Amino acid sequence: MAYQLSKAESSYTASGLLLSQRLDGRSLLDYRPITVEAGVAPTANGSARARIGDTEVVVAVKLDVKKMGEDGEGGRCVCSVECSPSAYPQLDRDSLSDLSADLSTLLSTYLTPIVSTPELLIIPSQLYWQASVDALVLSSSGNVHDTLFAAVRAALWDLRVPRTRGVVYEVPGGGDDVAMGEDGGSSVEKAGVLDHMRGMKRGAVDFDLVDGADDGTPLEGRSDLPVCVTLNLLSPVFYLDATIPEELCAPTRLLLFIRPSGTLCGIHKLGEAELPPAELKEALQEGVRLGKELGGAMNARMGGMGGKRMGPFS
Amino acid sequence: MSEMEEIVGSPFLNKLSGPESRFEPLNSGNLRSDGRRPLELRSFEAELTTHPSADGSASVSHGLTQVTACVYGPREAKNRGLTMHDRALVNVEVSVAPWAGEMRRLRSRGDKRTLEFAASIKSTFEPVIQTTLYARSEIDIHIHVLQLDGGLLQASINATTLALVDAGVPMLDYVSSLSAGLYHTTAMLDLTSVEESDLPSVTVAVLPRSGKVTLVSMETRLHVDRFEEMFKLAMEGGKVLRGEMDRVVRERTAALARQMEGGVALKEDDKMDTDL
Amino acid sequence: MPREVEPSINQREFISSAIQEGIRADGRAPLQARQMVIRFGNELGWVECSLGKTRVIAQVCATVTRPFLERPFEGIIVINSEFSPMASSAYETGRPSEEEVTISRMLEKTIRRSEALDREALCILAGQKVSIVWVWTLRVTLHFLSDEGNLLDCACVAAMAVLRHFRKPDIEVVGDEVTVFPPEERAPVPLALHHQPMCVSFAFLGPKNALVVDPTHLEEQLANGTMSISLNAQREICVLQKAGGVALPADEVMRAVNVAVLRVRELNDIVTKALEKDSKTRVIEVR
Repeated sequence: MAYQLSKAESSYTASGLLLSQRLDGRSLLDYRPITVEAGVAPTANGSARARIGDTEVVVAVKLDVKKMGEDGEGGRCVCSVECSPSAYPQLDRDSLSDLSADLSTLLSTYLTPIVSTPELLIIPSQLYWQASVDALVLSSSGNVHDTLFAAVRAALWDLRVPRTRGVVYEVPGGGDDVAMGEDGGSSVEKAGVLDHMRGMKRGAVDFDLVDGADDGTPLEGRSDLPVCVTLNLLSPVFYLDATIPEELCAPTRLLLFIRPSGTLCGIHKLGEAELPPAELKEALQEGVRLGKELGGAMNARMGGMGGKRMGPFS
Repeated sequence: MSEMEEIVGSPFLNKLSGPESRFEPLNSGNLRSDGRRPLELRSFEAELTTHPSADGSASVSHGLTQVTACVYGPREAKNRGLTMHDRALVNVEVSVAPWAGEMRRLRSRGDKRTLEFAASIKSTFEPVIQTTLYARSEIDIHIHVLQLDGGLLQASINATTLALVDAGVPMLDYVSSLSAGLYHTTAMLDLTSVEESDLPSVTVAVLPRSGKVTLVSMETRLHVDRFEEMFKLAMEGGKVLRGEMDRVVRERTAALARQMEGGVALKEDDKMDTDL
Repeated sequence: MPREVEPSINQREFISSAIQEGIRADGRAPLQARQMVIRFGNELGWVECSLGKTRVIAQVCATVTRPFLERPFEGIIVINSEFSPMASSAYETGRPSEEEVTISRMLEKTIRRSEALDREALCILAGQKVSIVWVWTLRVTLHFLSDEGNLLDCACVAAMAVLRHFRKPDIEVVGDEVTVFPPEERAPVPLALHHQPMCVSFAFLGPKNALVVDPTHLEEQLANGTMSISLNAQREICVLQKAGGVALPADEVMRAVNVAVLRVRELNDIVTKALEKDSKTRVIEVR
């Protein structure tokens, strides 16, 4: 990164951290104020804006109808992260797109298993909703990863999958076309209808959107979506929610993806420094605890209010 | 029968019977598709200093179109070779969020449309900003389009004006912009994207104080005789919009002045309290 | 990106004081354009246009391809603008400069967006599925040979002239079979054009922003602002682009529009006459 810290600044920040003193007066495991706002993009199926301190990320999820491939593969999500030049004024065009590509890869690696749920199937083995998750990093003052994944989580929480029902057309001789349908509240029911029809002659299988009072059904497992907690390891201490100078002081940074239920579903290490396993163990335990806390707090906030939700956590 | 069904299932039909063919820009009650009267604008909202890390920033929304502009500078130029000895260099970068429009679309930065768009914003503001005051420096304008429902150019220009005001960059005047369209003989203002795709439309940017026009952009076919009415109406509308923009700036400045007198309430804290 | 040498102060002052007296450096009146010369090549679909020292070559070729998925009944038109350092040292291959983007977008809007060509007439074989549809793809390539100002107008005339000059091979459809006849067997057919938009560019010069038509390169550099209007002979505005630059009263814009109306008529006559002259030299044998 082109952003560099002078030796004096770096050693000042680092020695402060070792003494549990941070420049902005937080303790090592404190977050800056976290603000999450859902439903910021009306044209998307789910969207959210998250801020941690001055770092701001907007995420929108769009659903598109896609045909499944030959191998029955489907439900893949497409991710893109774009870093605005205003967030990284010190970077040139090329390194900016490198950074965007890095973040996109990270996002799609951890999101693909989460988003490929049966709820996104419209007609099994034929059509599915392809979720495109697009993020825009508007400004950054450290800890982009946590902010990004908080925004993604909130956008997925906000996501409403349109209700559909299967339609079966009966081919000639059968008189009127038969529209079979059942509220697609659960995909199992939908599949049942179609299986039932499979025995009959049929021409095309299509689907209908069901009008409803709401825009659709939220994802079922949304309260157990993982959060990302970045642990900055500066042996022997570790700290959360680093600002840019603090990030530069940490030789190793661990991204932990933790579900509020307490399971760890991903670890990603940033930085070139080597890491003794003993240190990792302690960091992991603490990280999981913090992740559970953060996830729980987000769930409580997001579930408690409708529409615009904001919440500072600590 | 079976042929009918073939067509029902085919994607072509959606095109044929899509909103385009049934779209009625003005109904019998002289109301537009979203219930506005022909000369009514969409709700205009503007907020200043949305991004504290920038020197000046503003977010503007016209109905569902939402644009954020950030201004950096005047500052030392990144590329020394491009600086000018007698005035500041103005750079404009535009990025359109992939989810902004109806369809998801990833646009690269090198896209010709985006480049053209950035170029026209640049040349709109170059003569308005008093660039001669900042020789050998540069002013960067970053525009983010977060939501798109017609009026991209107008929203971007208005957001940029407010961001420049917020950054304290001296300008000759506000630049306020508005789009106008024509349905048969009725002119209408502030078009949505459906209306934009169906009607001839023009976007005009004016310097309201002098009443002069700095940008005119029309990309649809229209007879010369019809053009003038629509064009002049858009100019009038732009002047009205300036009043709104001025109000936002004044309110923001008054709030800042109050905070300075009070001495305690910082902006962030203030905002947090109202939100909770 | 190489930056062009800026005009000297003397040049600037000379041009601006001259225009106040209604005189231009090359002796033209403010609303007088340079002479447009159109030359056709031996083959159909090759035109060279020159406007003073500005020169542009336009070329068309047609190939049979599949259509775009979203427009299955329409042919494809591609407009390539080839800027090379040959035209002026300001152009560089690679990342296009703002000026190049503006010119190529303007051509694109004038010719493609205004529906100058009947794209549906370029469809050869229609069908329910895109995989069996064949259409013509027209590729209009514009080579900019020398930039002495007002490349856009020159390119636009060249493009319209070449589209009117070009003949596409005749075809015959029997069932699902398409036969394309070489020109020796059957006379090629002209393209179906809806209308003929032409572009007229203006510059605003001097302290009083005097309106000047067909600016030279120097005038473009010194201009306080420029404006381009595309119109057809039916007095329909297709594109009107005044992207920033100096602010003007509305009446000045309307004045430019009216000047453009007359100029387009003039340009259209020039192109039509040149085409007539050229067609007399060609023999079309109908068998």
